[in-house]
Amino acid sequence: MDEQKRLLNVCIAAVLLRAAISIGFPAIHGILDQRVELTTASTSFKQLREGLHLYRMGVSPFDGGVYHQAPLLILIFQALDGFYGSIAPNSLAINVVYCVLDVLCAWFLVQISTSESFSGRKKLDSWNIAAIYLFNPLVIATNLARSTAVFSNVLILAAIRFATYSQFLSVLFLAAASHLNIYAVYLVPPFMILWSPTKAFSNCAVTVLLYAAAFGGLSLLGYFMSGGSFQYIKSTYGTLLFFSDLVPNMGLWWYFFMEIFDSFRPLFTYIFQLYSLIYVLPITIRLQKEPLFAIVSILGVTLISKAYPELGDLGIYISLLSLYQHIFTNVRYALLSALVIIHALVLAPNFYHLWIYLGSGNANFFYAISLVYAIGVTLILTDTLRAILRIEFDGGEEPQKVVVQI
Amino acid sequence: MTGLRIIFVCLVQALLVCGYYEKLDLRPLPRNALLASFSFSLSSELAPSVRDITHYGIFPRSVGQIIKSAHAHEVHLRFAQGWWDASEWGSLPEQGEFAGGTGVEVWAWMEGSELAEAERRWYELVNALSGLFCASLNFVDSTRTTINPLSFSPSSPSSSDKFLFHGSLPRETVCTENLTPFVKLLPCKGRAGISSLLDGHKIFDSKWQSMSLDFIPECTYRGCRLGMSQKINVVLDVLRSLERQNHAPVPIPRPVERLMCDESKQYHSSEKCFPLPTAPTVKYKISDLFGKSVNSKCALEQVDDTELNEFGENAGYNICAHITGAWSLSRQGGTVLSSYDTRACFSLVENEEFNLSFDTDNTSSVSPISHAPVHIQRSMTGRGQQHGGIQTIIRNPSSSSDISVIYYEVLPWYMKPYLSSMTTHVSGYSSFDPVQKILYKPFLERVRGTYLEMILTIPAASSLTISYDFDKTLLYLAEYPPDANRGFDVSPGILRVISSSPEDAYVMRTSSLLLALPTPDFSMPYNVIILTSTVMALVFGTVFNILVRRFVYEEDIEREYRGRGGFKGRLKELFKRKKSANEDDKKAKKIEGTTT
Repeated sequence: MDEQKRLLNVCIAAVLLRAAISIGFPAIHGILDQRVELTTASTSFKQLREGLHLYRMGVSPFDGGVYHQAPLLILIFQALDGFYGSIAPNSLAINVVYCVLDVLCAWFLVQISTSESFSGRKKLDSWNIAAIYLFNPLVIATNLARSTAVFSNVLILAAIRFATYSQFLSVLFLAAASHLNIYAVYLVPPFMILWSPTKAFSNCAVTVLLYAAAFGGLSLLGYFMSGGSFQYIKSTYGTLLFFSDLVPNMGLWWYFFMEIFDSFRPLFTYIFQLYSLIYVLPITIRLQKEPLFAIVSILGVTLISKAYPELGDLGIYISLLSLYQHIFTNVRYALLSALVIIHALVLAPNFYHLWIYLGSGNANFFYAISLVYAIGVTLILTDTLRAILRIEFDGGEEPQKVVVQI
Repeated sequence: MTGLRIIFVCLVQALLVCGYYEKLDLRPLPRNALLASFSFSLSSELAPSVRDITHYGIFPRSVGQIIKSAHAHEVHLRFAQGWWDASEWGSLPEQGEFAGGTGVEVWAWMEGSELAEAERRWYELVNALSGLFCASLNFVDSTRTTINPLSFSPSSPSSSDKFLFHGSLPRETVCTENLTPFVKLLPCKGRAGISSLLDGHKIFDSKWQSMSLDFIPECTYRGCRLGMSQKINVVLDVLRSLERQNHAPVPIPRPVERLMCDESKQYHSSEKCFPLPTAPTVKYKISDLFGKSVNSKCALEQVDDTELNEFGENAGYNICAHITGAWSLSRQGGTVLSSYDTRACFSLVENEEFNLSFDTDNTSSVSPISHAPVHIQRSMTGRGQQHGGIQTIIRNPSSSSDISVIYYEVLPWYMKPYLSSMTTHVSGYSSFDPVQKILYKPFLERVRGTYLEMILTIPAASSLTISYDFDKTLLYLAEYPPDANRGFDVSPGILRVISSSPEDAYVMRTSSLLLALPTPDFSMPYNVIILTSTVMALVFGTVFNILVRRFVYEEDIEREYRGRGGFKGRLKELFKRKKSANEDDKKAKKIEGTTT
């Protein structure tokens, strides 16, 4: 089992790398947590600690503007704290938990690649797939920033992993992921196809009901946590919906809503929300033979269309794309999109520094780079969408023939 | 002791048909500063309750009606500017009770059956006061209002159904437009009595000044009246005032021959001068500092002549100078009430101008300065416009006794503090927890600011350092003031010493802070709308372009289009395809039927 051994080696190397960085540079967690590119209001570890601190003081973390994350996270970290006694970002417990989560993500990715949807396709070795995830600098940085997006990512991957094995588990995982990251709700339509490939109505209804029940159950958790009020909905999901916490990030929202005239702000809030939603059904319908790729593409679209995007999402998206080696031959702009993304990733921190710390640049610099980033993601997104549809068109049997879309 | 005295004075005053008295205390401070404390107090006529007052007497009717209609129980207003140098000037006048923080501060106990009602009345009150005092008090909205902070206690007996509201405007510049309505509330309106010295040009040309207004109901068994006390405390720079008086309105550098050099320095020569801290000899008159002399006595003043103060002299003085033996005073007009080495008091006479001149050879000799029981300093740490920190150092100078204080701080909502990052450190102690109690309400964007109140214990001769981190946020374009890059003001923190006896009571405020927030490009709205929309349309267009169109081999394109008469032909084709599909279905069913 040379393959298995290699996979194990990759995982061990990844854990060692994370441990080495954490031990060698204990301050790196705080530094990365402050990077606007890596963490946002909905995933910041610092804000999570503040929320937990307030919760312990008896002040409702949801009655204020500082904590915008899911109630479940407070309970998880309170349990962790109670168990280990410290949730400092470089404490042993947190290190272990985040390493385990990352390895779990990689393991789920490998599992997905060996599932039947990829049987008979050209694909990368499993250790390759694990390495692409575990050694992706974006993933490592997100992990070291202790972004709580890691939790929702592992749940989404688990939901995909179990979609064809155990529907029940998959539904629960997706509900939990939606509780942590409301944008996971967008994944329900493609998951419906995965859950009930026969498209039987009763089966669909049961899964949807189960999903709603699980989601509602987790919501009740928040209800009881905030002393019997639904206040948390406003602070957790309302902030995402109405974009009340204005902080720069790699998305399209912040500068637009900062500059837009007051009277138009509600209108454009609806438009932007609708904009992120509008891709879901068309992509699902067009890719109904490839529901997994529909999930990947929807994740790709939300990368740029959601209110508080972060670079860790791009890491997950790239890792999921690595499962589709058979479409690589049909990808046309791989070099261009890679260069655009790298260009954006290199310049974003620099331009942010120019604006915030040196004062020699202004907000437009960072804004321009966030536009470039959006274009880079679009290039990857459209290129891979086109490639998979091209394969679907003729099964990739006649790659030499030129195709056009009419 | 003082508290009892105040109550006693109030009782005496309630028995008399007392109305109005005014006082001015002049106290030279080190380095040629002069503290002038104006104090005016008056009250309305008696009525069964404050609500029933209809005859205000000399009490300003405009204020009385506002207080009545807004259902305010007790109202306090503070206007202040400048910085009180506690190391030079000692403790604040009257234990800081009447000194405000930078800008405007207002707090009031409001009546109301429930909080919402009281809150509505509070906004009514601040809006009315805004008009009356020409201050932007109407900007005291929910983001600048704190409800029921611990730091303030009512001066009048207050029942439980009253709600305390506190608001502050650190950015407000206090100037003559606030002084004019202030003076107008006085019965002599600045035409006679000591209020005739209140000239905006002189009062605001000071190192520090604070105006206070307090409206307090005073109830006895005979009925209630509304009392008003107005105070102005000013620290004047004597030399600067004289300079302005004698020479130019704009200070100019001193010519070489008039420089005051410390000739004891060994390097002193005609080219090198080490400036003396202050001129040792000075001579000035009240009229030099305030631009005019006191114009007659306010005829409406009614003072109880029988009352005696702690010096055993008649308390009904108008002007007192607190000096030492090194000073000599000479008056013009008025009468002398008492004259000691440390203190000389005068009363005014109707239709007679009063002027007082101060003369000394040793300006550093001033009457003893009482030291503040606590020192506080607050500053911002960190760099950049993303996050920062606040560090507050509270020092207990006493070498023997611990001190217990309440520290009250309100931060604007665009400052996001992390309470979890708060650290406290007491110098000289490694593990001493100074925090007795902490009250905290986190901010809510555009609704309320962060409220933090702590009860702290500071051991003798040590200093407490409190520090915490905060994040800065972006604002909407319209929320930035025109001079956005100047920064945003953060209200002064308020430190109150908890003590059992009124003599030890002390209140002081930190200076206000200037918070620099990241700013957008203010000229960009249209560009941003256009560029962002373009990128969004690009994504939408390309994705949907790929999703909705079908694939064809290039070689088959012609065949695809042949035989299709444009739009019509395509429609036809569509129908044909459907039909054939239906037929296919039927055929399939038939086959199924036959096989089963």
